[in-house]
Amino acid sequence: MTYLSSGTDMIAELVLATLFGLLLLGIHRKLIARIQRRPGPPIWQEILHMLKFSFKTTWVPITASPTLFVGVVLIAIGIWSAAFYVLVSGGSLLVILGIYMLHKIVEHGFGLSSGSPYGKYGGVRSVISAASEIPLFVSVAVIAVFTHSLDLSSIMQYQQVSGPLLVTAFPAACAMFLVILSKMPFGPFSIVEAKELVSGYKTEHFGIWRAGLEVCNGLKTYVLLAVFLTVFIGPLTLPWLLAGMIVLIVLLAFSCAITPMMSPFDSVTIQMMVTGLMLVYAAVVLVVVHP
Amino acid sequence: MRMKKTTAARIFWAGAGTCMISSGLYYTGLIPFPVCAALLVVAFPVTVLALFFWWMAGQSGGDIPFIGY
Amino acid sequence: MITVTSIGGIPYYILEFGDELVYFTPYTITLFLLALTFTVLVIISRPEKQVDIAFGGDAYRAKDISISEMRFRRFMAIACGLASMGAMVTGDIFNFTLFTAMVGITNVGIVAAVKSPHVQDAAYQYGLVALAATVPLFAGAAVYAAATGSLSMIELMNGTLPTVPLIAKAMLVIGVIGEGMAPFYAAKAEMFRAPGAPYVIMCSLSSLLIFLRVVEVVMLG
Repeated sequence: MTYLSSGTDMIAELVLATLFGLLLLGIHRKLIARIQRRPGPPIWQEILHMLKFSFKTTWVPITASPTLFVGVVLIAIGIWSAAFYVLVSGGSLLVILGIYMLHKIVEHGFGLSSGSPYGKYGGVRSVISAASEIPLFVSVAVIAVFTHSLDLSSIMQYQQVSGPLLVTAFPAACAMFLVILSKMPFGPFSIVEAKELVSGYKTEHFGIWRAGLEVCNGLKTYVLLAVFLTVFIGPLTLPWLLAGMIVLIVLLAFSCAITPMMSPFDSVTIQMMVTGLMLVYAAVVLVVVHP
Repeated sequence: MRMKKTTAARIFWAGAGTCMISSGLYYTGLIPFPVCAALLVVAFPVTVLALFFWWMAGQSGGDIPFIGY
Repeated sequence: MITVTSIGGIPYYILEFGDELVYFTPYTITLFLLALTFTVLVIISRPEKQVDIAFGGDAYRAKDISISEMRFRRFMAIACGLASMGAMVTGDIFNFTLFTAMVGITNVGIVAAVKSPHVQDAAYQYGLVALAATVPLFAGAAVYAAATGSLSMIELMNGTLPTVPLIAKAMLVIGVIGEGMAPFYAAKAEMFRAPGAPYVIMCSLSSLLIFLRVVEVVMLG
């Protein structure tokens, strides 16, 4: 067990993490609005959204593949719950990043299962932007070179001894920040939910299905930010962890507010360029720092 | 096919029960952490969706029928 | 030296059939269960009815999939799911490359029955890339065997064998990338124009899973 889990309240932790993640998304949205000189919704708007959608009339579209349409919502919540437990138990970083990548399949599933062309294009864009994951793996490889392990608990131990990886492996932190940015709504890389596709992959998931997707988004935001802090800052007590997440979401909100959404090809090109830079960095680390 | 309010409630209680029992068993040390986490990962999404269905489903009146694209 | 216990977690279970072996770490078991879940979804789902919009007008039409086409595609999607599951849990480099090659073939198979020229063209181009990629893939496995004298991942993770040359790892990764990762993805994205949701999803799921596994494989030894 690490800083988060006392082991007694596994369900309460999961629910609170979801709600806090939704609150973070609300703060993100409010900040973007204020930066762009709009009033913006209250910060608890995303929690209200989840509740609102959960009261709406719900059905399955006639063109949809019904089992997949429903099943993918369950899988979306399930994989991020799994990622949450891997995080609190200090398990392998690779498992969390694997789950992060499989979120692409979930988005693809959301888009394809409905039969709607908007959802389909959203899903296909999600798969095309798989390029964004490669910097992630390069940064993971760099972390492994430094810490000789991919267990979150060992990474935290390493940082207690040798200082935060944010300093020693700053480019890797930047790459991971970019990867988190690509999963944030209203960001430069959020081509999967661009407005020309109505709502992208989630166009046809309404009512309870959308509420389930909101739960997934809250949990996802919490897990990704907590993983970033754990991997690059080290072990934190709960108040510091939550404060760190708010700082991160402020940085993300600024990045999202001042950059326009890119076209799909530009988005992929930039991600590939970052991958190239990260490969060069990884080569430098392997040759110079740890030969 | 419409889900009845009682069905949704039953699924919710079954899921919530699974969550409670598994975390209880983990607390008392009867099952290890991965088993408990695996049970929760399966039960939690079902519970959440069933809860939503439960409070969404009205006792009276029908849904607005789907009229096609 | 990185050992497997610090990459994918401590193996829960190792099953040995002579040389062949299968092992489950928290990492491989997560991937395996996901492949299994989606394969079950493929088996029990009915396909979507894809709606096409004619741009510039209000016309739209829903495509229906004939039963015979659905049967063939479902068979191929299940085969693809089985190959991905095999690749997730195998503890043998050569078996991994075999499963990867099989995923490439079944991916073409999933869309082969679709009567759309765009999809067929994309499948043909993807097939060529996947075919070409099997050369570095198997060559990578051959260099593994030549350099270390073993193809067993368990042996590699023990750290008693000679170091695996970087070229072998690079070839393995290039082979997997050719089966449908980032730069070669363009052809595959066109394949998703094919109607029939649960089957097409196996195309993207399988290549992502194979990529996730190869990340673990190249970190061994």
